[in-house]
Amino acid sequence: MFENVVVGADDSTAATGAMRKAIEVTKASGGVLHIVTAFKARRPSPPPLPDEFRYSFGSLDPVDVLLRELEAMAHAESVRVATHAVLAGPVEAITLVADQEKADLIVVGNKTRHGPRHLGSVPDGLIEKATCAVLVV
Amino acid sequence: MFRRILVALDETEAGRSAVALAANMAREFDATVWLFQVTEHATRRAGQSERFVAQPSGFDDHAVVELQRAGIAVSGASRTVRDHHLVKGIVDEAARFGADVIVLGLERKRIAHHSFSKALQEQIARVTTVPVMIAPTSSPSVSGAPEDTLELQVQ
Repeated sequence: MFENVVVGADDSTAATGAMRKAIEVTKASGGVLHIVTAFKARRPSPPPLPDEFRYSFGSLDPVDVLLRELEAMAHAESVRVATHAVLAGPVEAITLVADQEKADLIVVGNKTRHGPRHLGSVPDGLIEKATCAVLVV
Repeated sequence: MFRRILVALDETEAGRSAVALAANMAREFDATVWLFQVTEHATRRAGQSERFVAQPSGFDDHAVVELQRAGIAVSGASRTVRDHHLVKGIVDEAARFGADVIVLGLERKRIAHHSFSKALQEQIARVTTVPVMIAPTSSPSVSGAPEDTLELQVQ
């Protein structure tokens, strides 16, 4: 039923919950999970370093690290996965990938702030803009 | 996965979209569906104590027929709640049913007081720990239509 599932990811607890649910749904449907992380600025150029240290930069970008961790979570459940790092705001990034991949479901976390759950701007924006079903977890 | 799906219906096309999505989910995950048709109503007048219309509205026949044709176990309730208590009504019903997902329809560009408008969906997602599924404006129709059905038990 859900052939292409898109999940918005960051390092928050809410996003982790969304990721778990997205893996569960994708696995049950036998679909492909598209993990989307949005970022707004390119990482700064590494400072000039001696040659022996120059390659220590470039593989530790937080976006890459996050995507690799989440990809590993999906692989551990034998879920087919694709990762997308998009230079845009979260809503734009998620809807862009959802459109490109013809997603039939977007899963997004519901931000928690001090107890009661608050709907952050991302799920709010997705409900407004997405053309497929949206699952707020 | 999703085994107990509560579908909150309004009286718009958005409700139909939610039913189609829930029907496909129920088939996929072998789930039970609980239809909850809720209508907001109040008869408050200045100087009077609150008195609410107790008579529930009728079920959306289309929703029932569509689910039954898909061979999905369906039951449900139809309730009238006091003005501005739609959110509480839906969340309470989800708790009573033990829903593991609430499916809502949404007319995305329409903000209407008596439909599940965007604002209402936001409120539901804020106050419940149950995942909330917002159906697209046009869900695919339900596939497969065995005629053996279960009777709807309206409470």
